Amino acid sequence: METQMKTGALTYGPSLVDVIRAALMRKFRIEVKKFVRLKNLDGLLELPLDIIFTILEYLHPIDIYHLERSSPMFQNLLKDQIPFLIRIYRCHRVPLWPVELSYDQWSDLLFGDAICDRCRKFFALPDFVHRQRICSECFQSDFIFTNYPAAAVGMVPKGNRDRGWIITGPTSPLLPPYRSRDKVLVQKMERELEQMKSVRTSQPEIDEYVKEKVTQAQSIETYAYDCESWAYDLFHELSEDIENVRKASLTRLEQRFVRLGYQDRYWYFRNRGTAIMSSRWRDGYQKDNKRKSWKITVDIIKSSAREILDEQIYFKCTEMMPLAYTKYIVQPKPKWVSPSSSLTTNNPRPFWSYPPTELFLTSKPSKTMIYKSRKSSTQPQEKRCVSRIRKLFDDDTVKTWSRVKKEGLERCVTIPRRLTPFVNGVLGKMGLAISTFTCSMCRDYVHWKNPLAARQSGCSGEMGGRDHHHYSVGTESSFARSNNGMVDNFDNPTGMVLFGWEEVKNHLVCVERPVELKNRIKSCVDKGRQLTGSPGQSTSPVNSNSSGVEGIVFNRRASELMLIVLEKLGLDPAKTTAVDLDKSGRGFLCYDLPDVVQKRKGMSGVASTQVFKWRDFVIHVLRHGQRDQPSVSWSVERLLVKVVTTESRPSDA
Amino acid sequence: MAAPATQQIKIRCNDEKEFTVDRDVLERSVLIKNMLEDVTEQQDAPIPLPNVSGPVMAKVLEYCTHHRGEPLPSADTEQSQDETRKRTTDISEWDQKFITVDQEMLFEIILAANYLDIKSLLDVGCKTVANMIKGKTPEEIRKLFNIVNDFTPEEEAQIKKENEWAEDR
Repeated sequence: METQMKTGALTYGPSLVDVIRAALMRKFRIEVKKFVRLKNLDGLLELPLDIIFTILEYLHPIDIYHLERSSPMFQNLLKDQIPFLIRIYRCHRVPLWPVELSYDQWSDLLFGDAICDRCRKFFALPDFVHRQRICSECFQSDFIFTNYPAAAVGMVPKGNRDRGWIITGPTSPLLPPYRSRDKVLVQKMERELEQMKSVRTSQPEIDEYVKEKVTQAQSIETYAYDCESWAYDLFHELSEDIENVRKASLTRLEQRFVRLGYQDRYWYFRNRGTAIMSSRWRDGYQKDNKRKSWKITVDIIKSSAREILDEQIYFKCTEMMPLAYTKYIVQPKPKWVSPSSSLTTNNPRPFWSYPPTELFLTSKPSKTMIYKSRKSSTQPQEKRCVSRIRKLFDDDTVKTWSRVKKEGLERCVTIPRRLTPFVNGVLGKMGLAISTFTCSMCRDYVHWKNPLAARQSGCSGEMGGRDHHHYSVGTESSFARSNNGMVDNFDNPTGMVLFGWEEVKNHLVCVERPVELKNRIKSCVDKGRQLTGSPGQSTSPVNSNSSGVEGIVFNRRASELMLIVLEKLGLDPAKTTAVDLDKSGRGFLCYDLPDVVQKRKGMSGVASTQVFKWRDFVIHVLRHGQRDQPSVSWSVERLLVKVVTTESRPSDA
Repeated sequence: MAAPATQQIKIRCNDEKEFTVDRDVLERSVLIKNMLEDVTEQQDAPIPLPNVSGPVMAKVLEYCTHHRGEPLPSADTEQSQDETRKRTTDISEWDQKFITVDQEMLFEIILAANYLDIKSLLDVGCKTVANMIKGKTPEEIRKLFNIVNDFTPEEEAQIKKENEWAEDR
């Protein structure tokens, strides 16, 4: 009860404790900035021990920890100095290590890397109750449920990775609710109790054992509360200090901006605190410093780089601002769009509103194609794109590429924001098929305009981040392999090819318009047929004007849609394959499509409704489900006839 | 009975360099203060300081002259303030300028302060060194002390393993 009340007082996020190390280090770095720095201190080690320890007394426990980790010499120096270490911990009011733990274990827990003790992944919070750093995944996978009665008893947290078990009791009320469980017991404990059973341990002995464990667990929980309180206080203390430093730094920066005559930009930086410019972006923009309009900004950022990195004051180049913010800033100059970009034909917008692109190359284009594409590129940006891709090939050995081909790996090349609109055109010229993946959650970069909505919809990456906009690039044949060999063809009035039932099941619906004409599609289909053994279908009529690329929609709706399809067809979603669906011969009627008047020889026109196969149905719904498109209503019909007259249209969906 | 504050005292360093200093300045050093209190008669012979060189003594005297008149910390207050004192590594502006010396001189000053028992000067020296270690990662510390990473990857792994949880029953 008492602990629960205490828990109520601690209302901070789960990531709080993990800032201990980072925050302390940052504070100390800021603190000691003003002091004189000598180049080295190698003479220190020649001083008498008592003076060395006097110096060490001024250090924080985290510095002692780092000192120990720097060299075995310091480790040996501090090895048996427990009274000294206790004094240091007490001086700085850092919680002492409990009796069950050694100093090294405790300091590792407090100040060590935020790495999970079990899977070694970044990042894991220190858990003062279990005294481990365990990531949420390991917590879920390694801590087991049991119905054993003793599970209700708070067990002592102990663990040993080598033995493959970990002990914990019912989770402490100090833990966040999502981690709280009532009955948690690990294998070891179960084994112990089983053993006690087998040797016929008397009930009083078991009771005594359980009682001892309960007492131990209670004391651990109490101490864990103290530790978490310490972390909480520390965080607030440090955050105030850091805030003060930030303010001072901002004042200095303001003066610098004023001196350079950029008050308006400073106003933006100051008042739009959400602007972010990570080091990656900054580096990218520093390289290309030809554009005058943001040169000054880059200079400022360059000169302030240290401060920005140290104190986490982030900036964004004014040209990178999303459209919604432009009214607050000096309007950047560039307004041009790429004439060669297929993306910009339907959606013209300035280049800086594009995210950087990552191309995942699944095959190597021939040197001739690279040469030709470079030669035929009219835009300098296109040439730069080609150069980037070519550079990737030049750097790699033949052996690597053969491995890429064999194992279906991908090589990645990053195309910066300013070149993104040109990518599509270039890839077409290089003889590479391209597929655009767009996250449905942030379709059309909606998170730029409405970050909150994007976050709510589960959009995890940052603006233009790698989670969102990818291009997979390869020749048709390699593409077919990369998609599990599931290349299908189907009757399709739009001439599009849907890549694979497996892909659909995995929420990935690929809609690709071939870069070239019939023969390329045909070869692609033939390869796919060979690989999959799926029954071939007649090649669809292809629109000869359909050069360029359609987007691939990475859409969760696809899976929901397929479930609906299967439900309506009365098939089992777990067992059904594409072949089954093809064999079922079902067709789909879309109520929202207008009737088509067909004229036959010697007959008057008959109004009829189009019947779609299942693949067309998926594409059609997904396409119409996009923004600004009305939803469509469907009905399932057996594909007995190709044309259904208007009178025979079913009344309900 | 202590002598008047204006009394001039001579000291001789290990390089035979002599200084004539006011008594109250020299009494910042507990060592010299005790020596002066032990000597009942006034003597003209300089006090020998075999562990301190002339240049270092000059710096020490500069410090003592600046801080003359400040109350010496008594044993009681020192003990009570010990904990809070060691939690802060702030150094006053003058002291910072004073201690802006090269590494060798810095350590000489610390040694001299330790020998002469000038607590405040020892503090300044130690704080300066501590400030240089503070907030540094192990790699930066290695660079600072000019030491190579003696830990082999196996040793590092071993340390990590040892620090993991072990059964304590």
